[in-house]
Amino acid sequence: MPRDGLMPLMDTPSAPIRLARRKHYAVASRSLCLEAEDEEASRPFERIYAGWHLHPREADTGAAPDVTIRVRRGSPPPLRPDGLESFETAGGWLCRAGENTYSHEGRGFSIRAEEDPRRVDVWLGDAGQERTPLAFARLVFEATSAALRRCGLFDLHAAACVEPRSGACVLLAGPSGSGKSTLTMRLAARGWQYISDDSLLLAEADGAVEAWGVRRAFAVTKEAHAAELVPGLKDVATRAVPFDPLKLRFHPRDLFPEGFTEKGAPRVLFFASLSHERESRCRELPQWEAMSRLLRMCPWACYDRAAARGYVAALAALTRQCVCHELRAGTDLLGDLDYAAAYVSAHVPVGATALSV
Amino acid sequence: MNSETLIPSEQVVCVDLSGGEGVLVDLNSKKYFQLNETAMLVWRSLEKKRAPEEIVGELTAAYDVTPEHAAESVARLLREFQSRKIVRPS
Repeated sequence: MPRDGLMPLMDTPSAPIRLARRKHYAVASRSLCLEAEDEEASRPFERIYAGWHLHPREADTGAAPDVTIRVRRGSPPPLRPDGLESFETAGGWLCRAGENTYSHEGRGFSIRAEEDPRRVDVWLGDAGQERTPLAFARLVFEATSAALRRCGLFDLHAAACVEPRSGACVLLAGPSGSGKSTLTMRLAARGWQYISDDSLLLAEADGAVEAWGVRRAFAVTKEAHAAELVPGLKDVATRAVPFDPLKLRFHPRDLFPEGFTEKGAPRVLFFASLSHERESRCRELPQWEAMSRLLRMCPWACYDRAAARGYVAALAALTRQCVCHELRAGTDLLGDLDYAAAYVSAHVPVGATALSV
Repeated sequence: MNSETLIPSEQVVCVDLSGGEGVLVDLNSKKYFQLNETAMLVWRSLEKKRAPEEIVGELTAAYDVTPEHAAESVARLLREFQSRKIVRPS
């Protein structure tokens, strides 16, 4: 039966579908279960999760996972929810969102989130020509992000490092090409611990916001690699980034074997961009402006309604917890390694320490 | 002043910033609004389903302001909220 103006979608299949493959993961103190119709349906997720900080684990005895992703393939395609706000997203995908409904469709793929129980259903179509690595990467990212939002983990396009002196966690937020990876590498080369060079999950715990890393690998431009912006960079094994021909990917543990830490409590937030000027410039931002920038960076905080309250609250908590700056990074941060570390350290508030998370 | 009691729309998320300020995010329009300390007091009062006259009383109790000035400010702010469609009649 249609429900609240919605057509049934995937959760009411005409015949039961056997979900034969089940994998459990731990991620940022949450548990995620991946259920798939078969190995072919599960493989894209498992392959990409191997490169993320999602840790395979044994099934809990009796404890339900915080969220489940169910993957099905083949026909029939899911019906579309009707009468909802709809909008196009990157790559020509179409999202439909309502108070308790979230569906996201690409060509040959569909994602649908349910709130009770917390579950994300994924449908893989038969359109073989659509099954490119890029399409699968986008599918897995979108489905997993939707699932994690439903258990209080909110993505932020930012790098994170921990200052060795104070233990304060510093975030570098910004789009691709804003210098996040370069600065993260240079800080790590001076003994800072790194969490991620690009993608974080924010979680609230005991009144504080934690930042957890998502992707294990770092990605740097070919120019940065060739210029060896940190010692040893040219010697580490790299591979091409399938979706960005200008970048190379490497595992940071090859360069900084003891440098990784899984999470931190942010105390400083930089909104970074490259100025190409000689001297870097930094301006402290009022909380309102920082919040405004975060909302623009995180569209799902407004568009995924079921998760919006938690997402907006996490962003606000982040601005309360951090001193926020606009950083226009100049070429001075690409010179002496000690200068780069000292420059960032100078913006860590005196007395800032690692919050207990 | 219109004495109709207004309450926040369900589609609006309100979060606190430091210093008593806050941000409203309207999930319908995708617009967001900065609220200063007194505007946040008014918004939190609307969440408690306070009538405009009661909100004026809360303002005069919290700040050194005349009832007339407070009433004028509350009425102006409520009109602004209504024009943005982020409140509705109780």
